[in-house]
Amino acid sequence: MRNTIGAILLGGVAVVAAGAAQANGGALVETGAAPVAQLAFPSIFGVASAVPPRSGGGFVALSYVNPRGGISGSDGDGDLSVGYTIGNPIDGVSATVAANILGLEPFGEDGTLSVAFSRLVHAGDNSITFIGLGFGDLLGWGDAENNNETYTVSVSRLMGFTTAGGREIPMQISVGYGNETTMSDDGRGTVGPGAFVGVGVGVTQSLSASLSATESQFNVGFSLNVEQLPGLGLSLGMFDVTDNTSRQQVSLGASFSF
Amino acid sequence: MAIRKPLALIVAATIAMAAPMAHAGDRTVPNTPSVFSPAFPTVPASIYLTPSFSTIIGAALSGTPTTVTLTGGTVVNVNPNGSITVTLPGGATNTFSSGFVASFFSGYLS
Repeated sequence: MRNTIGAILLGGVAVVAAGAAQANGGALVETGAAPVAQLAFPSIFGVASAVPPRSGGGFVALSYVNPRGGISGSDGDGDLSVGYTIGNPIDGVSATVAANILGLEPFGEDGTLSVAFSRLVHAGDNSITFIGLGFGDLLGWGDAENNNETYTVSVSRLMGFTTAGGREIPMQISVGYGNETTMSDDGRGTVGPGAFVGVGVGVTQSLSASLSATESQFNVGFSLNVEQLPGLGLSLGMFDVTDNTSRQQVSLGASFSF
Repeated sequence: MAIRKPLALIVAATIAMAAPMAHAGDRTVPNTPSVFSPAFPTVPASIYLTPSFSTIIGAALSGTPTTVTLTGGTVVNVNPNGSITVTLPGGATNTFSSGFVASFFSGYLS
């Protein structure tokens, strides 16, 4: 069942990407005085990105995954993160700090802190590149008190490609390395260090699609900006689409930036 | 009856002890190389909400040459050829052919 959902999601990425290319590259592009709208931010689901949120802004992010931990037979569960970003990544360093509640029931008993730093390292003709360093599972409380700290190092590039029809398609590529990144493929669920990569593309004004991978799994996801409520973003994705690690999970997310 | 009652108590006690231990502090998504929630990747889109981004992307999409001075002192020129030059308060300049990239870059400089 979950593999079927994964196949549908993968197919969905292919379909919307092809649709975007057609819509943005040919006769469907608007011309004349009315400018075409900017396409959605190219979020990447499933791996870290070095692209930081705006400085002086906060966020609340609620996620629900099923099954918890990817362990077949477990119930679904979620996380709640509340964070804030300070600092300018263009000529300084941006820092995002978040408090994470691990599990919605019992709520608040277990949690950790995360912090990530980002800085612009290159500005080109049609791209900007950030480098990021993130630390997670810090200062855990409750049952998370003894969790091992995690880290990721990532390089992320935002690009804009203009189609023959004159419309610009935003894209993001992120590559990196982390100490708890690669799930073993023997079904035991052990996690070790490894590399990761992800690609996201803005498809419509409000929708973006992405593919990402670690050394043992593929992830696919979609993000939706809710235009009626600026700051609200929704996401739908699947970790380990091929179930290579026997830890496949469906994920729903909602974030609100303020 | 005499056996059932203690058995029920044992089962109830086991469930009561197991419930708070259901996840024992483990991450809900153990195999994602991110230190943030799975819902976090949509958050950087908040740059789109900044006045700088909306102003500059609007000018870029309209193709009308214009100059915008951001509140932090950054000056953004939409040039006649469609490129966008961003001049930081310190004097450093960057010229972009991409309206999306120039606007996103400027969004951090509000």
